[in-house]
Amino acid sequence: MKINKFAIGLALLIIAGFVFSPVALAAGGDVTDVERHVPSGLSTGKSAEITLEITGETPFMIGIVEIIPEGFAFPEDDADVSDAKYFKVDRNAGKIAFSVSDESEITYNVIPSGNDGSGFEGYWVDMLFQTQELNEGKERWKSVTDPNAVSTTMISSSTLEDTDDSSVSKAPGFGAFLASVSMIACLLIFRKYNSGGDKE
Amino acid sequence: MRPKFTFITAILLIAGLLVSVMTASAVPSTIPCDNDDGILTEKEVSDAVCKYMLEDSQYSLDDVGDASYIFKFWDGKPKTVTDTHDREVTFYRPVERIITTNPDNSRMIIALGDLDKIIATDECTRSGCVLPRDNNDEKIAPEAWKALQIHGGGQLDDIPETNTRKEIDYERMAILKPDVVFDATWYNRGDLIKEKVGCPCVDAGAGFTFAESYAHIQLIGNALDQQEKADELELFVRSKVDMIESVTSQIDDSEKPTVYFAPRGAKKGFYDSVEGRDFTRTESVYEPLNIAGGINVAKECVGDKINVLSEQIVAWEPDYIFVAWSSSSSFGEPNGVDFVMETPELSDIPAVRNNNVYSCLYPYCRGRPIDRSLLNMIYMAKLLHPEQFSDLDMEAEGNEVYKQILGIDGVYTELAEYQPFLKEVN
Repeated sequence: MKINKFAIGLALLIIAGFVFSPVALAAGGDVTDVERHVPSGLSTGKSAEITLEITGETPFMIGIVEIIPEGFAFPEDDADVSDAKYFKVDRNAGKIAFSVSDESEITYNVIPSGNDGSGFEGYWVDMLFQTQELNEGKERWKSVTDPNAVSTTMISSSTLEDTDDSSVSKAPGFGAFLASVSMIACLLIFRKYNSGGDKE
Repeated sequence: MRPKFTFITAILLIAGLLVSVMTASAVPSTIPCDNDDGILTEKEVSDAVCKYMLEDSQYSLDDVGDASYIFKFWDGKPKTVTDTHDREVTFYRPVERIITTNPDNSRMIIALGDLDKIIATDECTRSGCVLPRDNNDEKIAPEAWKALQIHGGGQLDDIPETNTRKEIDYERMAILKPDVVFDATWYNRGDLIKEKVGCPCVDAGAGFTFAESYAHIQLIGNALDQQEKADELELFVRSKVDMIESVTSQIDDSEKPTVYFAPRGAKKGFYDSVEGRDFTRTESVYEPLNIAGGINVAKECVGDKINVLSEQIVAWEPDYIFVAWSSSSSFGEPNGVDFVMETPELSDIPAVRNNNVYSCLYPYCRGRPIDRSLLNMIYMAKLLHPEQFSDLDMEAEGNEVYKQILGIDGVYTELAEYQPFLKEVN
């Protein structure tokens, strides 16, 4: 039995395209920017208040995550971290996440380990943005801007691009695994039958 | 060993494909991020959002986004709409992926600004029912086709097709994971689609009364959460109806001309046995004609598919006859007006004697297009009462109608080039 090489190649391309095709994004949303304000002159060990200013039209609902610089810490009690209505702190990872609904400003406190406040990283995502795309992920995350740390924002953006969005998938890696298995299977079957054809 | 390995990999391949299809058709029937009590609280949503942002969540961005939307706009509860067949349709997710099965619903979704949510549609939306094509299937108003861009780029005919006039591909619909299917009213298959595709199905459609059109606008607007745009569109249609009706309502009925309306044209003469209709097919209710100040001679007829005897048309003695224009007329073939004017049996009708036989827009297109209803209303008003509507600019009105519905300028101007009878009333 001969299998057309071109047809198999085409089939594999279609499968790969179907599984790995990049998500085309529709831009937009009611929130246009989240800007971080870090006080100047941080003092080691002394609590400092970080402000996140949200620009946009209500109603909106966004998620924000902030990653504080290495060595920085959050106050021990959550009540001392922020008076925002909804937030969660991951002290081990140095992260704080907020769910913000129609508020133009939120704040949180950190305890600096130095006086350089340029190492903050943060992302936000418009939760009310609608798109027909399935499997939306981190490609929709946007960097928190920081007027005093332009370079930080740029680093953040590239870091984000490098990050695989599979972490937000319901079954991380399953699609890729399935596609890989399918393609390997096709290749094996093809190789077997194709080698027979060559012998003839 | 090798054959065994190949066999296993083949089984794995098949299983993989099966799993892919099965997961594709699994559509949620509960609110995402809810604790199963059916009501999302701010805390539930906010906790889900925070966990997602910390990458410590079982929920995807789609889940938390949908939950946020439901909390913000649906008070945290599933949303129910009542469709044209009085079916209660419940949504557990906001509508982001739409399949339409007929052009009336596609057109309405476009008019309400959600074209980019249509993931599949029917053959007529893709062909010439929303934007026009000629008899050779070539696009009329190509710039309008280009202007109406779908999600990800492309034109209306680039949207995947999931049904034709007679067949519907349920499996493909399910694989595309729609949030809703908008089906035409005449099929009565909303429950079947819901069961086979695994998502809510709304039966919706327009009619030949403007009340039906308003209900259609509001139903789709409600399902899509586009209430403001629906209100705006309804107001626009009402303003056009009022513009004509405010004049014709002042005319005494005894002064209004009687009209025979042949909405299926007269391509094959009196009657086409294949289609079961032609010049002798009429409509007892065509409100655009009434608003335009005409008296429909068939208004007392009953039923959906009314075929009358040619002798009856003669007996009615209509002052005017409107024959729907056939696309084959663009090739110089005899049109409906020619048929009526040249048929001896009809020669005694006042409309024929007085040269008051006119083409009009074909009022159907796998449905009852609202744009054509409005245009026919204005066009008929100008013909039936030329003095009262002499200042009405048909071209400007036509372009305004398409601008409102499709968001594109100049469509009517190009349409009138293809259907030249429209230019005779400007």
